[in-house]
Amino acid sequence: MGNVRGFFMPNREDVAAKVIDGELIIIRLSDGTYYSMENVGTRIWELIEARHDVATLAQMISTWYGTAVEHVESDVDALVQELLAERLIVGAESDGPAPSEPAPPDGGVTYEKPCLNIYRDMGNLLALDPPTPGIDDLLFRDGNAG
Amino acid sequence: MRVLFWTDWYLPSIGGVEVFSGRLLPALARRGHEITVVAGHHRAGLPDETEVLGVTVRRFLFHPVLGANDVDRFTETLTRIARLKRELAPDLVHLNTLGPSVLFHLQTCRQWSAPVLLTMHSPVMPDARRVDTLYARALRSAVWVNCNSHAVHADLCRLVPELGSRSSVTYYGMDPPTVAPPPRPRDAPVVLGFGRLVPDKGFDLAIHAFAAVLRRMPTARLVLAGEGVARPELERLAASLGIEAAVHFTGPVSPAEVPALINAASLVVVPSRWDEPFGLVALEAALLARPVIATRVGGLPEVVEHGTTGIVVDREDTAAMAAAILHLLSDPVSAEQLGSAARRRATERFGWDRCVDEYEQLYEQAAKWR
Repeated sequence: MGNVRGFFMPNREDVAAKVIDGELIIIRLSDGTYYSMENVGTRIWELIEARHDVATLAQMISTWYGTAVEHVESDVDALVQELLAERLIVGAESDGPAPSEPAPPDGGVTYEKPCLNIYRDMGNLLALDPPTPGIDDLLFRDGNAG
Repeated sequence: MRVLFWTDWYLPSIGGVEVFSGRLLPALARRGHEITVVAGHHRAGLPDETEVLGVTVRRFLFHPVLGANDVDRFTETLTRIARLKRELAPDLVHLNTLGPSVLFHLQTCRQWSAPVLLTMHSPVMPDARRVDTLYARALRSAVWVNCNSHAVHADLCRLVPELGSRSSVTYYGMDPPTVAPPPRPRDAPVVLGFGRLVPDKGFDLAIHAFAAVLRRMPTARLVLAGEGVARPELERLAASLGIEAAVHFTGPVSPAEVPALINAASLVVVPSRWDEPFGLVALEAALLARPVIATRVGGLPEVVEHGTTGIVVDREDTAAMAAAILHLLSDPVSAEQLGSAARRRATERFGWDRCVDEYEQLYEQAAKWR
């Protein structure tokens, strides 16, 4: 196992997250940074949310995807450290409620190293190039686009 | 071919991309392609689904949803996009933006997988180099990147060398007018600038340059056509220089009104201070045989050939701009020659049929990338 051990949970004070069709979207509310993960990354997030400790969730991923646990542990370690650095998860008490059991992935899904996609530029992109105001109806006044 | 054309804004919003795609897409539709535009709502009251010039447009509240940081509204929009993609089953997704809305495309690629052609209508941003930006991820999602000038393409290759082997240049195009342009006005010289009135476009530089012109040529007039956030500041600048009576702001103009404005002008100035990727305005002026004075930024020198079809001056050099305006206003023969050469070159190099042909080839080439 790597450097990260114990229990974690989403940083609920500053994070909104949702899984849809196996893809996870996370928003860090304090600065509007968006993140996404898919496949194995989504499953790891769900297991963290379900209050599994890092060692257990690595074991579960290893079993679900038929991949050597040492390999999975290394990837989980890197991802959890990145999630911590981004303040998307925080440490949790070990004596919290019992973990729930998310359903395993459908068969035939291959293991891929989990990847946290970061969209740190969302705020800047939203501020750039707004539509030009006040000219909306001109085109239709003339009946064509010229 | 079924094409999903993705853009932040579409007609009736007005900008270079909107005007260009508002011409391209009906032309491609007439050639038998099924085009659906996915765009952002740019004002309240526009329908979610409509037809613009024969092309179906589906609008979504991309920017408000993303700005709200509301994960439920985000996933609700995502579900609608995924459903739309499955319904349309496009052979190709044509991205025309690397703006925020692209996140909705990236997050629905698993629901409908199609090759992505990206057209770069804007200068390549330094964020292209970073791994933690939407801009960079969307850029690299394309199977082919098409740039609207060699200047943009050179920046792309410099910033993202791995895209050099799957990228190319397709210039914008435009139909030449069906009738010969009228002669340039002789009695009252008119300098025209048009486009979005935003700081990047440098119309403040044109006003400064024009103030110097007016001292030597008091009958000259500057017409600034268009609308935008910089207009109040530009009006104040003209007043502070004491030339407000000689500077006319037309307010908003539609694309259909532009030819008449150009025909009434002696020359057209494109004073942009940002790296104008192409300069559609310069092309419109050239097709109507008007000489263009443009700044040496981005792709503008590819549209305006210095000394042959117009005069190119350095960025923010108002003295050179004023000298060029004075030169062309006081030497009508030279201005006439430049205008004629501009029209000839624009017709040969930036023809409309060539442009549509090249886009059709790009579509066919990119769609095979499965």
